[in-house]
Amino acid sequence: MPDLLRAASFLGFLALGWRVAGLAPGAARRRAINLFLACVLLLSGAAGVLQWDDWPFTSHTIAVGRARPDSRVCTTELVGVDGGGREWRLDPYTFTPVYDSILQYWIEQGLPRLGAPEQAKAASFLLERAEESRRRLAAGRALGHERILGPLGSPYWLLLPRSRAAPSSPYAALRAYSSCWAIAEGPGLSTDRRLVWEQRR
Amino acid sequence: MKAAAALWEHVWFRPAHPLCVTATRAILCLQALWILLSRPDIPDLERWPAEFLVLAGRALPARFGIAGLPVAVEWALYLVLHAALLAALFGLRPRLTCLVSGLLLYHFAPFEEVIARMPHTAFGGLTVPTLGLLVLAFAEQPPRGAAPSGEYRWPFALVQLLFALGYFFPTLAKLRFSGPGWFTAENMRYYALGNLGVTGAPLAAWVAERPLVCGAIALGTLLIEGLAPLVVFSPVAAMAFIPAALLFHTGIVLVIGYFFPSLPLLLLLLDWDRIGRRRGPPAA
Repeated sequence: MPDLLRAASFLGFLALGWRVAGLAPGAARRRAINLFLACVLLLSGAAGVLQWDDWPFTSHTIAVGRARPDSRVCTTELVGVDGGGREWRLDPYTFTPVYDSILQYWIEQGLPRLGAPEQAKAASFLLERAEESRRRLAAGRALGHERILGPLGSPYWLLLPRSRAAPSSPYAALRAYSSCWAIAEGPGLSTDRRLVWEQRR
Repeated sequence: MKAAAALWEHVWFRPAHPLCVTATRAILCLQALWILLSRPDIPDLERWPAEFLVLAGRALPARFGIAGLPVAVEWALYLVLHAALLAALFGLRPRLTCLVSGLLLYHFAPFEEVIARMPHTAFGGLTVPTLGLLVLAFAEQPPRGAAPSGEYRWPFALVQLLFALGYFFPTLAKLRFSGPGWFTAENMRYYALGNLGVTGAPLAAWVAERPLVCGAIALGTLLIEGLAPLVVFSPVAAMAFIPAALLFHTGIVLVIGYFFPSLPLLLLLLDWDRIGRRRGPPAA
């Protein structure tokens, strides 16, 4: 239902705009423009004031929490494992067009909702994707936003550290580690880095 | 009431040079092309197994037309989007090409984050181009040599406002979720330290050690975000906003490692009306 309402709001925006486009200069057109402007202000204002995201009318909710020394920061780190058992931290653009942080969220929230066969299918797909990106990196080719525009490409907004090193042999497995730390401690004092899943060939 | 009506008239309908519309169109098209060329494999998401939509469900993707179209069709649409943006950039059938561009951006912009229910699609650099190109599709497109008109003001001012809200609404959200305490030196310090372990931003540790710098960042954030809507009311405020915002975004990259993909859209805030009038009267 909320998605239906959101779709309706966008269709309403289009309908009012279409009406403006169809009118010749005059009082009726001015009224239609005023209505269109009011509609955009209302939809944008509702999204921003009520924090009811209705993209592309959006609440722009980002970095709104209060950071404290005991706030916990948690990440899910993805690594590829080569044939010799060595782990390689994956570049955040490995799963392009899905960025690392989005995939982290999906692994934390989505993967546990799947049954075992579905989990295996998804994990196997990710392993294949990691392997495709490994081949690109090993061949000296760029990933993600640098593929066409090189360094002039627009990165994803969250600038995670790049990791362009890749083994010359295929990945034998993919692993995800979860770790959390308190801000005051820093990541170096993370006490609970643990393997959350592993996909082998 | 009379004053409000006069303000409405002034903001939306005072005569504007046609360059306001053509410059807005060019900036939005170039921004969209920059982001798309930086995301060259967006349609490839259709190859991902359906299991990845476990969080998104069916309704959210369907809202954007992400409904299991064949990958080849998505690639064809992606090419059409590039062609439409190029055509709009060069003013070829601008209303039609802006409409096609806006609708296809609405379809493709959510691809990157749909599997996580689009937490930050608003921040991806395509939100203002999506809405802005649709606004331009409905607005009068200036013919060669057109005189200044209110018809060229409202779409220009509306796109500027949509861009400015991207600064203003985060302040409302901060006040709602964290209160005024968000804008304190202590909060900035722990934001820097918290992100240091994630992004490794180069100045995070340096800033976190300096309470005065943290306090200045907090105050600067409040001023820049809170005053952003003024850019629609005053070209002087808009011109002052540009260098302040550039400094703001540079600082954010260096201190917490967040890039702002909509940075080129600051060009929307140039006084295109004045630039157009200075270039002389439109050619007859």
